[in-house]
Amino acid sequence: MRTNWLNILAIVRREFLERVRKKSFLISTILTPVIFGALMILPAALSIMRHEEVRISVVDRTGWAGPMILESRGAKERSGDPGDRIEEEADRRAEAASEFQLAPPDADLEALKLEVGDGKLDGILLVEPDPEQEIKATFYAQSLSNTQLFGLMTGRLNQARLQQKLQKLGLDPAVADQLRGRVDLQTVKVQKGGKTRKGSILTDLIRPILLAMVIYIMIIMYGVALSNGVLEEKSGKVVEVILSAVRPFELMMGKIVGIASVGLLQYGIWFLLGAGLYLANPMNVASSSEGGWMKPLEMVVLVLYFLFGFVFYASIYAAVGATCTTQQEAQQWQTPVTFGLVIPFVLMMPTLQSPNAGWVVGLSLFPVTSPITMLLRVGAVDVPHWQIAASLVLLALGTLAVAWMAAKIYRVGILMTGKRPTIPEVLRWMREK
Amino acid sequence: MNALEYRSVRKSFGKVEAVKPLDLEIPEGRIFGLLGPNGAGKTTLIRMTLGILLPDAGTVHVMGRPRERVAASALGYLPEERGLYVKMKVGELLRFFGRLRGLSAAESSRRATEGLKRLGLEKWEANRLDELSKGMQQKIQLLVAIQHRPKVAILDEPFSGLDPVNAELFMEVLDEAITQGTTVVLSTHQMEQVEKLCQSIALIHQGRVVLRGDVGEIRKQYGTRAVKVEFSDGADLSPEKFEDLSESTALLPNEARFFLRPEAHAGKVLKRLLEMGVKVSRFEEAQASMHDIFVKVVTGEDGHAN
Repeated sequence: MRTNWLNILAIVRREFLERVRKKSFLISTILTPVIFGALMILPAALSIMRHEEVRISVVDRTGWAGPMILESRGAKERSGDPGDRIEEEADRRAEAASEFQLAPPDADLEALKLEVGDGKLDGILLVEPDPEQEIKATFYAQSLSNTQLFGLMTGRLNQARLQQKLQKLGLDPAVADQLRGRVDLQTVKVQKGGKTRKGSILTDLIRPILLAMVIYIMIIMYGVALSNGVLEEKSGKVVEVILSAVRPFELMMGKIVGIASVGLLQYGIWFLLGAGLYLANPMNVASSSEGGWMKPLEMVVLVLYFLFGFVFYASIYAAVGATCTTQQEAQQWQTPVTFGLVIPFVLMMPTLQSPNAGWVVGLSLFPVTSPITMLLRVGAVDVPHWQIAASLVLLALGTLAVAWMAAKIYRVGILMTGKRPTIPEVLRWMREK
Repeated sequence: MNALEYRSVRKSFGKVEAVKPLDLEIPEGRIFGLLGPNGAGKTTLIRMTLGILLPDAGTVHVMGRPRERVAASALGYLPEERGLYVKMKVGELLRFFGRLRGLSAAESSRRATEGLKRLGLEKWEANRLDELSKGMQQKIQLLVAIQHRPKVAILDEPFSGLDPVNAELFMEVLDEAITQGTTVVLSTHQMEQVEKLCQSIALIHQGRVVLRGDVGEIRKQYGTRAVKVEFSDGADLSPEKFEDLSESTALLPNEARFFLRPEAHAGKVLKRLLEMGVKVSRFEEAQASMHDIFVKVVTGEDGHAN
């Protein structure tokens, strides 16, 4: 019997409509970008908002550093990047919220410690003379987790030390202001043919990670949904009624394509949302991503890797669903399937640091890891087109092979009930006619 | 023409021979009973008929054509257990299966509406299946099996979960399907239904056809050799006491059936009963029920009860 495409179409349609109409689809489509956005914005927003008054008593044993520490500012010099602007603002607010007071020169440290213990004081900064570094400092507090405060204190201490050194060398303290400042490192990306475009950490590091992350999440999320769907059909016996009308391969392919379409729809919605945000530009990020957030080639590559990668993994997930009889069993087997996706993620940093190293190229060609590794590379450098083509061809061949094997396992497994088969049994199913 | 024809069909699972070389013809028209104890190979045979499983050897023909070349529209199936997507809406589910069985979009819609109306479920078209009672779900299963007017509909325990009124309605609908040219293969353990509905049967046991033919003929053949006795409660009629007269004995608290050995006859049984002092309230030469025949054939085959 030849494959009946009308059957596959009917199954695709059912699978798609049933899933898209579910409330969970609507919720995950809306919530995922909201959560992602919140994860990126919240820490910054909180660091700006959360500033309780901090009272710190400075105990000066040097006889000169106290007033300098009180007068100076601890905030670092920063560039004008949007991210830095947020941190700058956070520092400014932290500075405003912290109150440094000079304790009398003969203040009793132990008495002050009691105050800290009672919560009347938030911290003690003990400054003592040091023969080489001029001053050394110790901080006493109940909580030592406010790293922002440490930064501010270190800044003040360094300035006091600098002033003292200048004075000893007989230089004008105003020189200190001239010595402050920083060099901005501009980054320019050079492409084939000497063309250049402005690049930055934002485009070259975060973007590839985002691309790979999207694929990773989609494959796992929808792969597991597929596996559970197969299991549900199997335990509900619907599968017998369906298989009396269609071939197992048609059912499996229909389900995979149906779920992939749901994934693509969700992608599409997010993409439009992202494009809308990009055009509206609320955070003014355009300056750091000149030349477009995404090249057309990247779009095509992303969709192709999603499609092939999804079918590759979905076939395995379908086979897993077909060989198991309970959700718990299925979960145990779903986890190892994800290793092929997790490993390239673990190797993400070395991959991005040397995107053209031999082993990285190898991983980006190997069908199991290529969907993630190649996307990381494509985001970071201009990958030779032949490598992309070779990787896609290998992935397509790998997908065919895996789908073929999965279909064999699926065909037998879907009708099995009772005991879960052993691995040798599953291997034997593949050889069955 | 034969609706179904099995020639030397064989199927094993590992070392277990589920169906031994099996030959069977199921004639076109009316209702055919496919009987057999649990594990007899019925489900395997049904699955091979539906193309869910492929036989290891032999051929299955549907309406004279090899099974592989038969369109999905020629067959219908109602599985024993619930075989529906419970989260789907009733109308959509019927249309979905209609499409898989080769109906056009318009035709599948029309049949779904028509079928729901016939079974009194037209109000439920937009409801999800898990909102329906078990009986209603069973009606939907029946529609899935016959709405596309298949040549052969295989129904596995179709009457389970139905009250008598709905069972009657089911029968009417099945009759209509038969008039329209569907052959019904009924697989069931409820022997009263077999007696009531089936013209002919095949009894499968241990992967083989052990009994087949016209229900009336079979009952006549077995019935002349059976005796039915009703007696006051309490008498001990253990089978060993009738071993010389009866091949097998079916015993209820105040009723017994004896299946006579060829050399025995009813009078000897009555004599023995009276000698034992049993208070007989009724004694008759019974036409064996399909139940009795089933039990007798199945237990007789391998010497002990399954």
